[in-house]
Amino acid sequence: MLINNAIYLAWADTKARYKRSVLGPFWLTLGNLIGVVGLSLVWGILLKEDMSTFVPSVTIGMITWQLVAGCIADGPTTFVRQANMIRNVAIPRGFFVLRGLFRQIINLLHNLVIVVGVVWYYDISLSSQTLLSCVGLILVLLNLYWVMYLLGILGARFRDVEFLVHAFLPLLFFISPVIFRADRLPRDIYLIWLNPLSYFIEVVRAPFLNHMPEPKTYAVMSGLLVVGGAITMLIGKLKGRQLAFWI
Amino acid sequence: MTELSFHHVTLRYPVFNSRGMSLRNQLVRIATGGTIEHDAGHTTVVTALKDVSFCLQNGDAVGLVGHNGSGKSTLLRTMAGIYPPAEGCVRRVGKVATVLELGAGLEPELSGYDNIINLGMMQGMSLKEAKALTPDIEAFTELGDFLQLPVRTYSSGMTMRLMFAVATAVTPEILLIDEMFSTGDAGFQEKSLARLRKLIASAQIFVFASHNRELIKTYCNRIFCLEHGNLTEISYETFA
Repeated sequence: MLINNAIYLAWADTKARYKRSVLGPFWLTLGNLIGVVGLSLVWGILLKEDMSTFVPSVTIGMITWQLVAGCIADGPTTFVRQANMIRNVAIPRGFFVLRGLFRQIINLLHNLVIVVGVVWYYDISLSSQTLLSCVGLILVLLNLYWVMYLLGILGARFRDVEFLVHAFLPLLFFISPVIFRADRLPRDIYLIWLNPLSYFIEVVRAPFLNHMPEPKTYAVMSGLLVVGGAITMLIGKLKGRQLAFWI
Repeated sequence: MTELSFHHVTLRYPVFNSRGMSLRNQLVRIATGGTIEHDAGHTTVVTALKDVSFCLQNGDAVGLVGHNGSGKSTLLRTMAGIYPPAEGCVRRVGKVATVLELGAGLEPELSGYDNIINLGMMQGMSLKEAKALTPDIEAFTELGDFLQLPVRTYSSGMTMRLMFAVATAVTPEILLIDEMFSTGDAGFQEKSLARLRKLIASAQIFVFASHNRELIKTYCNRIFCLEHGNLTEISYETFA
């Protein structure tokens, strides 16, 4: 029930946002298509990469990044944006998080068109291993749920969080293996694995490109889910009731 | 059995200024061991309700009066379970519907029809239920073709019609309405009066905050007066 309504309202949000534009939500697809093509051309030539493996890698990397970054960027305003609803109807907090998360999932679904195009153009063979990408995606989404919830609470109480997050996001983009592949780096840049977002991308991308992700990727993702989920639940229990006063 | 009762409820709410909301000041406070705490944590605490107790049961229609800032809206929000009390306890048995703030939850770019579904779903209806109620809401609001237009083109009276119609489409057990209800024109007020009568007659709880004595006299059978967060009940006869 809650989930159905969150999905419907997320779709209504998306429709409302593109209401008076001609292409509507397909701006999402077009915008990312331009990004993927541009990045592939520039970096593919600069890094002298083989386009038939580089383009699929950048595509999946970018689309996963858009999902993760979208949730992180929207996170701090999850509750603040819905302030007048929260002040008027008693709705479980999780509803607003789900609504925000589904908005990002709708964006992701629009971007899948690009993935289909790339798979077709480069004639990528899909195997049963590709299904592991879906498992990875589910792990990513579960983690993003607590990330949005936590950022939402923090962002409602401390209004600086939103700007702080926006300031660090571009930096995170460069230290996450979006354009480059982590396994192409010289060994001494092991630092990349200290960035949790690297796992978010790897867990979806590696199986798609027929590389088995290392077991530690799944370990880190599950660990983050348990620890992050617990912290969020604790903060929600202790401070969540006060939320209506903060927004 | 619908019930809404407050047992020695005190509600305090923090008002943060930009400094209180800022992370830097919280960090500075930790870093300096609280020495500049006075400067850092500028949070004003407002006690909006002081030791409020009452018990509402089936058939109670309460008119809430009091000057601006006396805590009427806060009381309604505490009744709805939006604000948690600092002390005391709130007992609420029954499904609550609220019409508190004009335009809350409306998406200005979407049409009236889309917003009916959105509002209904935010109140916990399923898509099917919300769609099934649309004809009823359509008839009640009398907005006709305006329902196809984006809600941003609506006047406050039209917005009120839409919100009231959705809130009362499914007979709620507890209905809480704040002041702006009076923005409807005479025709609409008559219509909503009929609907409210039915609601009250079906033995539910209704709380209505207003400055309009006439409206309160027609709709309500108990009068609560709020003054600086203190609640006193006035007998209907004295009020009239």
